[in-house]
Amino acid sequence: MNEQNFRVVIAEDEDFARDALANLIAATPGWQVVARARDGVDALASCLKLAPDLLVADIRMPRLDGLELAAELRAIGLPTEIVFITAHDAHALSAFRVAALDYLLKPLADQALQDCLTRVRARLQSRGRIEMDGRGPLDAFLQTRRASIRHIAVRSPGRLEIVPLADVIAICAQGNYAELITLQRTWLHRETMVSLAARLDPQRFVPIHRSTIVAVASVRRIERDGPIVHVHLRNGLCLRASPRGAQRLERAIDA
Amino acid sequence: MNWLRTPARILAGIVLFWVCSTLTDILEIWLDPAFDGSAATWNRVLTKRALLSLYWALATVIAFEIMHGRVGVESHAKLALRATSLVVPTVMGVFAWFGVIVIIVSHGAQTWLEGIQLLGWTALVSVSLTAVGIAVTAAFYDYYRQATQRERDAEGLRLRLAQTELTLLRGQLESHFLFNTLNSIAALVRLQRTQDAVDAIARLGELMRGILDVGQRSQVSWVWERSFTEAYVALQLMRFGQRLTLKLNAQLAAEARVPPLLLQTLIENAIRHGSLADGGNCHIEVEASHRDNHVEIVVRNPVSHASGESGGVGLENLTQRLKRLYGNSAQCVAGPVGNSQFCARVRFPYLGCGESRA
Repeated sequence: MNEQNFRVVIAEDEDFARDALANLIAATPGWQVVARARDGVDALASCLKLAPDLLVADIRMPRLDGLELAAELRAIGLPTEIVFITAHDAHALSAFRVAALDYLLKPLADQALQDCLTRVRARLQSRGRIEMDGRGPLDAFLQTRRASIRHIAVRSPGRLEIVPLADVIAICAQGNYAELITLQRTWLHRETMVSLAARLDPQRFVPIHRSTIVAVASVRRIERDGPIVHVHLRNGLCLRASPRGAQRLERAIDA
Repeated sequence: MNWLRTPARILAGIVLFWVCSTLTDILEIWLDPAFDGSAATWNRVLTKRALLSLYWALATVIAFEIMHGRVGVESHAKLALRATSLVVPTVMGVFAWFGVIVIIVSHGAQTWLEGIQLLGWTALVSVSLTAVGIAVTAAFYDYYRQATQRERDAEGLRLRLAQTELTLLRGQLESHFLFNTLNSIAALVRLQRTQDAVDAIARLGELMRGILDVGQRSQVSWVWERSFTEAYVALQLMRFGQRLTLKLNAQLAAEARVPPLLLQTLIENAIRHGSLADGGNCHIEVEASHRDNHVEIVVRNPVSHASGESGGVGLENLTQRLKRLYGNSAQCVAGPVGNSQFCARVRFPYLGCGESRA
């Protein structure tokens, strides 16, 4: 029997609720609470630093909500198990059930928490033997919820900042980094274009080229010059699109 | 179809009616075989009858349109149309045959066949065509009325559905708050803060009693709204601790009428979309006053930079409710003021004790 304690990060914006939950988990043999975060950004920083086995996250949180936090963890590639807590969100609940995810409801019942921890423990223990294929139910779930992701955490060495996706005009590849362009400034973000394109809402963000993603709402003009297509954006920027990228963009604009 | 509802349009309708009457008269005389003394031909008679049918059709529509909703035609429209389409041809037919008999008797020299033929050319054909024209027009008119009525009914249904949706939405927001509060109370018990837990349960009880109490009432007194909101705020202060502060500055008579949950909605909006969403502290300032025979409620809070939408579903919902209650005499304006503040301002007519809107 493996006597190792599994490590948990708790993300909950309400003080009492967070403390009570932490006490409950800490009192369960085999579990150890390593960080208590009061919002999504706090929780992301803790997860990056501690790489916990489990994150228990409230859906509705300041700065970065539970879903956005989960999307960030998946983009980074952390294998942390995630359990969501929600008070009453009919949309999220039905989606949870469809995706067969573990979730907890408020008010929290002791038995529900214990059952949930038992299931997560079983998954964590079997994980040593079976390699993760990286396409668990959570990833499938996040794919279906891409439209509700409204913020992105920009990770540059030693820093973590939140950029509202509504401000992003375009994203351009810069070596191993992605450059997020907003009206005010640009942000260097450590993530590949493929990974970014996979987690942004395809209705709002369209890859027009191997190295370029544009926000559909920022496109002002599309110019064709023979096989070359130029996309003009609202900040005056002009980007080149591949023929297939241009088609994708036009479809998204028409939709 | 409401194009004959205003005096100016009725006048225009009457002018149109007389222009058409005069034109028809002139054309009728011109088309009449007697006008140039030529022999009557089917061609000419039928053209004349078609013209007259057209005229009667128009007259039917205008008459029904003017009568509609004025002399009870609305509910008896069908009856009137059926009666017209039966009585008019019958009466005209009787008159025509009566005419045949009179002519035959007075022109004893003529044969039966000649008499019938004479009238067949003029009165019989013309009367029948006119009657058919009126009946067809009445049927079409009836069909059109029913179709527009169905459309209006469907529109009303859509509106009612939208209202139900709004109510459901409000129920959902309330239940989210309810479950969160229950969770906080459970947490307080787990942390053995018994007194806080008991206080919170009492507050929650007040809120639930308030929601049951308000039922379908469209207005409550300011003192009711204020104590309901105080219970709500107390629970939110418990949940957010030091991060949330609220100052209420009210100069409003206790009996002033306000829509229920108006103040609560404004504060809920400030909590959900204000600077708490950025993880910061939030100070909410509320002012309620009675000015120029209007109630004005202003809620200010530090704006959130992260929360995408400026106003939430709550404010939209509120605007709809105010519009239903007060029409255009109520306003709800919300938006950022400067760089750091968000301000929601609601204004609606002041009604004292006893006065209320259904």
